[in-house]
Amino acid sequence: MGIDVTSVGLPSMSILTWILALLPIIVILVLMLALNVSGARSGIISWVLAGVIAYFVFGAGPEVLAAGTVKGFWSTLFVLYIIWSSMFLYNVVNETGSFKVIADKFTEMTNGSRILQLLILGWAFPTFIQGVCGFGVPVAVATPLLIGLGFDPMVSVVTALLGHSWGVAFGSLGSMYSTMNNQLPPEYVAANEPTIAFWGSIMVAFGGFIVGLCIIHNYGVKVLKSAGKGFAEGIVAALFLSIVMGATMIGMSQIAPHLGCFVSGAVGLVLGVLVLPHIGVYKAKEGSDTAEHTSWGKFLKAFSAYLILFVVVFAVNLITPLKSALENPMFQVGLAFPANEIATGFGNAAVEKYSAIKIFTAPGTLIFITAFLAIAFYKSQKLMPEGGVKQAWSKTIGQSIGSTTTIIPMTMMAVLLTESGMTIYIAYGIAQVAGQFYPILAPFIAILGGFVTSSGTSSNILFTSLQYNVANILGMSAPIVLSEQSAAAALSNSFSPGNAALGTGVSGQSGKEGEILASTGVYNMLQGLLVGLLAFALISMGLGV
Amino acid sequence: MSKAVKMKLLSVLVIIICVIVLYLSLSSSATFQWAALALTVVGCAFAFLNC
Repeated sequence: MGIDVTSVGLPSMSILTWILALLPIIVILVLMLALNVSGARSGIISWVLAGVIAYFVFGAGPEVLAAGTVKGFWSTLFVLYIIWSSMFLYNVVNETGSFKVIADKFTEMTNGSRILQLLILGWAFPTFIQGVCGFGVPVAVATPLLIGLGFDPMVSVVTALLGHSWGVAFGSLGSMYSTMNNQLPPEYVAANEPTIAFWGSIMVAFGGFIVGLCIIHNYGVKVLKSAGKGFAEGIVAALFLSIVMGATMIGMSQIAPHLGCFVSGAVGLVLGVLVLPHIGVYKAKEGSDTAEHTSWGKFLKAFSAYLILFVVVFAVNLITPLKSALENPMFQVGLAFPANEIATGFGNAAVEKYSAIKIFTAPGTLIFITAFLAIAFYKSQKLMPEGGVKQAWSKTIGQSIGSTTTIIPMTMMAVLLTESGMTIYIAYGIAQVAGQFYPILAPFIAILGGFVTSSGTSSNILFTSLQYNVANILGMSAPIVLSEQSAAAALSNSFSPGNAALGTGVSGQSGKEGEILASTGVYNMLQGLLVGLLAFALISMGLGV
Repeated sequence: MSKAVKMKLLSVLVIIICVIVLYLSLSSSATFQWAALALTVVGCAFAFLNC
């Protein structure tokens, strides 16, 4: 193929060196999958191993090892800021008991139609929550709601896992999307961000369409004992929601991609509730099961935290003078790093503000502001119980510390691989063997990352650089290959052991994680294959260049 | 707050201190950088035992 890895200052290509470069990733997979070692411990072992290989095989000196480690740590701060703030917001709302009020209102509005409840509360609602919270919260919220409405616990967990997954790519106010961009060369992102977001949204919308079909298939098989009956009952609603949410996702990718999931979920919720119950097959039937009447006033009070978030996020993102003032360079924090290089010449340029965090417009800041405004509102309405805020803080620490200890070493390892040139070396090796069929393989790399880390964001940390470099080496559309990474890493959230354990935990089915993963695993493999085939077709047509 | 959560918080704090030292070592000699890397490995070992 004429690819000369030494031209970029890396050691000449050999199978042994390639395997050694890949070894830290293989070790993390083996430790987590085969040996059931925790994510934090697996990350630490792999980080040490990456350092040893970088030094002995790639000739990385202490300055490269130190810089790679510190850059990795710094990269986690943005993500951790979102995790902690979103968990706090969720716990604030949870302390007021507002989630039950929200669920009651949605039941009332769907005429008691079971499939509408399942699709709106198990798909659009988790998508909406994913838009701002993520990190397992949509599953933790939607699963009990569905069980409370009388759905089988297993169906509830699988639906919530599938339903929230597709939007993860643009969820959590763009945390995963931002992580992907942070892993790419800044000059490439600056020149191509609208294109990256556009193709990402196309693939994610396609993933959402498949998710809708998977949900009604699962409902048909598990509840109606016939996949055909599930499709007959749910296909109209699934198509409607996939079109309105997918189109919104694509539109938002060109306006404010960080809000894509949030707005798509909101549109799906509103149109799902306002339109679907008036379509023939879903109209109210005599004697159908509906919940007690919940007043709009009570509902809006319960929902107020998310309305506040909507206002805060839109104000900051859409009022240009305000955004410009808040994003003044003096309000951007980033660490300076000197240039460095490995023995064979591969180097990293000096940088003044590495991966700068915009303090006042960072998603974490917006969520914390919302949480404090919501606390003030709930207190004024006497909805917040005594000691509720303290309780919310306490729960947030307990829920967030686990993902914190996992993400830090994992990111240090991933960035160290990149800093020492090992990621690019792996990419060159794959490029030499995968050839033009790489787009079909790409989603499964993303799924692998999501499966082992239970996080689409971590999958992006691990594999964004790899996907980008392989696309460039093979001369394929990088935005389309990156869109596969985005969509498949997001969809893998339904197939991750961590999320499955979360689902069994909140539904009182501990020990049934394997059963859940067996269901979502089949759907996820199908999703990966379809995403790969679509990307292959798009690239074959010469699109995304 | 449970003891397990407290130990995880302490582990994160230890890693933060190690990373700060590591960052400061970047503008120093290779010897100091190696020492800072060794300290970070020890800090991560502490986290390994508590996570």
